[in-house]
Amino acid sequence: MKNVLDLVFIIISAFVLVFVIAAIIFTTIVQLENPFTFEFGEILIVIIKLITSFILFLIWVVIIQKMITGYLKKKLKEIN
Amino acid sequence: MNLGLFEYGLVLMSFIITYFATKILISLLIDSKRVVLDYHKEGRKFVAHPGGPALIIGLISSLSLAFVITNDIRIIAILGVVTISSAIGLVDDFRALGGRKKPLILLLASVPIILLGTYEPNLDFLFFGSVKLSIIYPLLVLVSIPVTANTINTIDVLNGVSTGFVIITSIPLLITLILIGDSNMVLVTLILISVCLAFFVFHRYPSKIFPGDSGTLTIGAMYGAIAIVGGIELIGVFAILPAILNSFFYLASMRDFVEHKNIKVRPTRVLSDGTIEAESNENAPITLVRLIVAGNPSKELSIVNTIFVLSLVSALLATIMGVLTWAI
Repeated sequence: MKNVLDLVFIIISAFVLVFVIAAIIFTTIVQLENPFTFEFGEILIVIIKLITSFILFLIWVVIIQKMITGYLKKKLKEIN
Repeated sequence: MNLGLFEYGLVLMSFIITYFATKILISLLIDSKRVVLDYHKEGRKFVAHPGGPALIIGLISSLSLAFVITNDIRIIAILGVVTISSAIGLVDDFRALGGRKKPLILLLASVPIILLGTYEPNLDFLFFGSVKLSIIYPLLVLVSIPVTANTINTIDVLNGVSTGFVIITSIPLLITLILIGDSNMVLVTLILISVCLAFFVFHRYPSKIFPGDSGTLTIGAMYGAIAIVGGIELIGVFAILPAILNSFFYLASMRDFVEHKNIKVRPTRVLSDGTIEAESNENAPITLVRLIVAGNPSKELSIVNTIFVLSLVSALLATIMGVLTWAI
């Protein structure tokens, strides 16, 4: 159970990140009203919402990936 | 919220049915030589497989009776999810479906919830408020059952992990549903816990039976169905975060839906004394077990206990979130 504290830290960080990012996507971005009055405004706002949500998801992916690979490299170095 | 004598009797009955079904199934599987090698043991130890049919019998019989007692259409939706996912799991146990095909076919398991309309398209975010997602929500329902089913399936790599994990992570669902006062969903959650507990008696370290894909996909799909139908999706997602992260690490490092048995470099190595150590090859997939044993070679039981500690942490966080969401 040597690594349990490090892993608990990763779980809690992932928990907070998932919660904040999901909350921003669903309560703010998805709920955005269409500010455009021109013909393709509806389509444009959907594209903007999708891209913004995807970028936020990628931010989560990159942060978690960095944490995990950093942790794994450090731990594997300890035994070599 | 009140559960009567019938309901408590039903929960007890689900435990007894699953317990004896598992006991009988172990003998049947061993007699018919349906056994698989337990990789993480010293020597060559074989274990009965698949134990899914015992879990399926326990769940389907109890859910059918629960519907008779409550007359709640939501239980029919959950029964539909369980039936479809167990059928897919059984096919996968006897004729491997493949890493890409399985999640796609599992989309079918979400259909009963969508067809019967047994969901509220709202998400309650603590501190951020509640949102209505009329268009997106059915799509989220469609993908969530394959996600929870595959997530529990992917974490089932060591003795007792999948059933033990579902028992622990169902507790936040149970507490939140009690607070909400949804007695029918409390009954269904108690049935899931009770059935998993009966199976866990034989599945815990050292295992006498493995659930197989039929078992893990069924309990994973039912877990997801309870979270959606009970309107506590976020609590459900956060409680199983260690398993979701395990699937995520695996997918991100493999960049494809590859079955465990088909991977070229395994994430861990088993030494001759049964100690499990992390693979140092960079091409090995990243899994929760590899992270646990990285720089810390351990015996199987110690790894299983670490996974349970991590699931207790996520279950505690999810429970706090459930209580606060209900209170605020």
